[in-house]
Formats: sequence, structure tokens, C-alpha cells
Amino acid sequence: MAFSWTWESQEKLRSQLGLDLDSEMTSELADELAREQDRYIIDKMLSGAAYNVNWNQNGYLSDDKSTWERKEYSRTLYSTAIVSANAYVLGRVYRNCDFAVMNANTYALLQRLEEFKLDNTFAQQPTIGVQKMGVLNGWLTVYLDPGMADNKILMGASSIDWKNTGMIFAPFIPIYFSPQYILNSDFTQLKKGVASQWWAGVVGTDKNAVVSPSLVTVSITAS
Amino acid sequence: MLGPKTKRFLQAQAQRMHALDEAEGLANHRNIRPDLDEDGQAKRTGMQVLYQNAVNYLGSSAAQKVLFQEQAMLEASLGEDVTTSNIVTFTANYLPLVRRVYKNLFAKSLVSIQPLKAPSGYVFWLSKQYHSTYSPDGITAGDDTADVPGAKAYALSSEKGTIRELDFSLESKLIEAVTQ
Repeated sequence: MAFSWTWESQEKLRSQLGLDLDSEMTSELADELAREQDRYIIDKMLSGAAYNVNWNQNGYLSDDKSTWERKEYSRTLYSTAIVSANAYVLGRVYRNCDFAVMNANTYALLQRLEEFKLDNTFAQQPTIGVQKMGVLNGWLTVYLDPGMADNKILMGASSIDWKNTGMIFAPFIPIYFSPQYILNSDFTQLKKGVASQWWAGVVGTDKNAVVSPSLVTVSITAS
Repeated sequence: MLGPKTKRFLQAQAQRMHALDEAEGLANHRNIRPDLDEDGQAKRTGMQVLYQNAVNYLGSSAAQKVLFQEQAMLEASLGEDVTTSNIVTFTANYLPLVRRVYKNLFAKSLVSIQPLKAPSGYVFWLSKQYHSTYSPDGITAGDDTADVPGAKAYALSSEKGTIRELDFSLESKLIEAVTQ
């Protein structure tokens, strides 16, 4: 990731607000870096899920035409799909799933469920990237990731304990900054890059495993 | 190379960051003895390794170009009787920035964080295998416990009254950090 700016804008900001553009942009880039790392880890977890449960969002009976009937059907997203996905993990690693990640459109489906309880922490401490949104039926913490694909829920049993983990994140250099350099021939623009060194991957039942039994997905289908 | 004063300043700053993590950990686990709270300890120890990596990075040749211009200024400032809050430089802001990034990382509360002390190293986890074959349950010796779901009821299991022997394997994988 990189950002570029002009001397002119830097001096405007310094003179008007007393802020250093370089420092301001550097901390913004650091936030973007955290978002990027979260996205990468979620992507790895998605491809490393050992099991998938499908849920047909149009699966109500043809004579279920009332709002009430269709609303009742939508609750099967929780009572059938999410519970089944959890049963898979529970049967293998003897732990319940405790987190679910999804994008805003999928979250909208879940938010309608009576079992969902909104947590307003995200409103008090806004951050970019993945946000904790609430808890489903008192046991499944729901996270919203704006970058995830539609109609997919990633669920898993979290473990920050190295012994029982299904996913490892190994950071090395937390943040690497490139030196500032002049971007164009008239010397009006500057540029700076930021990077990080890390490794992230799913670990399974042995070192060659590419999926983890503590991760599952729920796919929401249209038919 | 970093000057001695800058090095001392960074080490002190890393300790302050770690103290903040400790305080935050205690606040989040108010009712649990911190020495028994393994998860909290793992998080805080992980951050300590990252701070040390960050300090090492600042002393490396890769960071020298970034730091070169402010070195003299920082050394001079620390030599005078000024507080560090008056120094707004890259070096002074670097560790708080590391804390800011890693504190907000969503993954921190879900996955195992195993900071590397070098660009490549090992990550570790445990796996559990059945020691012997239990045909009625479809278990063959060497099967991973996660690959073979247990019997539906204890009464149907061959385990009744006889504790199954499990082999614990320390699994490790050699990994290499990639630049992103």
C-alpha cells in the first residue's frame, strides 16, 4: 500500500490545522493494513473450512404466502443451517462455534431473527474493517466483514490457545515503511509505502491438512 | 545504527506499551487472576514479541533511510530536558502505531497469534490420534480424533468403562513470512 501527496496540500494542512500530513496518512495506512490482514485471515479461513451447510432462502412451501409464514421460514436459517453447522464442529473438536463472519447483505438476513441481539459497541468505538455486531441466541458472536462475498457465513470455534487452534497468524515485522520519495519530475508530489511481513494459514489434523475441522461455512442459496 | 539514547527510549516505550496491554488485559479480565488467564497472557506475550521485533526493525538497515533524517533531531531532543510528548517523530510514533494496528485486529481474539522472531520459523499446534483400533466405532489406530466423530451414545461406544488411549502429537510447520 502506498500514498502520495503534494507539497502544496501538506503545507495547507500544516498552516491551517497544524497537522503533519505525512503522520496523518501514515496512521491511516496502518488502519488499512490491519483491515488487509483481517481480510487475508478471513479469506484463508473461508478456504480452509472443512464443511459446508446449504440453506435455501426461497425454500418455503409454495402455499406459504403470508408475511408471517415467510418470516417463520426465515428463522430456519438459524434453527436448521447454523445449528447444523455448529453440530459438525462440535462433533469433531468438542467445542461449539463461537463466531460467525458475514458481509452486510447476509447480516441483514440474520439481523431480522428474533434470536439476534445487537451489540452497540461498534457505535461507541467505530473502527474500519471487521466489526463486532452482536450475539446470536446468546452464544454466537456475529462479525461483519464488508469485504466478504454475499450469501456466505463463516463459522468457527475460536482458539487463541496454540494447542487447539485451527488457524494461526504469525506476524514478523508489524509495519514496514518505505522512505519518502519524490514521485514526479517537477518535484511537487511525494510518495510513501507501507507493508508488513506475516504468515497466516489454517492448520488441521496434521501438517499437510488444508482444512480445519473447527471451521465451517453456511451458504445461502436461491433454490 | 540507533544511538544509545534512542535505543533506551525505544526500549522504555516498548515497556510502556506492554504495561498498557497488561492494564487493558486486567480490565478485560477483572474477575480472573491474571496469572491463570492463559488466553490473556498469550495475547500480551505475543504483543511483547511484536514490540521487540519492531524495535529490532527500527535498528535494521532497512529502516535507516526512513530514520536517517530524524536521528539527529531525536538524539538532540532527548539530550535536552524535554518530555517525550513534545517529540512528534516517526520513531516516537512507531510503537504506538504497532499497538494501534494489532489491538484492533479482529483475528487477535479468534486465532492463535504466534509472532515470529525471524523471517521464517515454526508454528505449532497439537493433534490427537487414537492409539488403537476400535472396530465397532469405525476407528483405526492412528485416526485423528477430529476425523472420526464419536459414537452417538456412550452405551453404543466401545469405550464403556475402558478409557481409550490417545497419542498427542506436537505438530509443527516451517513457514516463511511474506511481505504484503
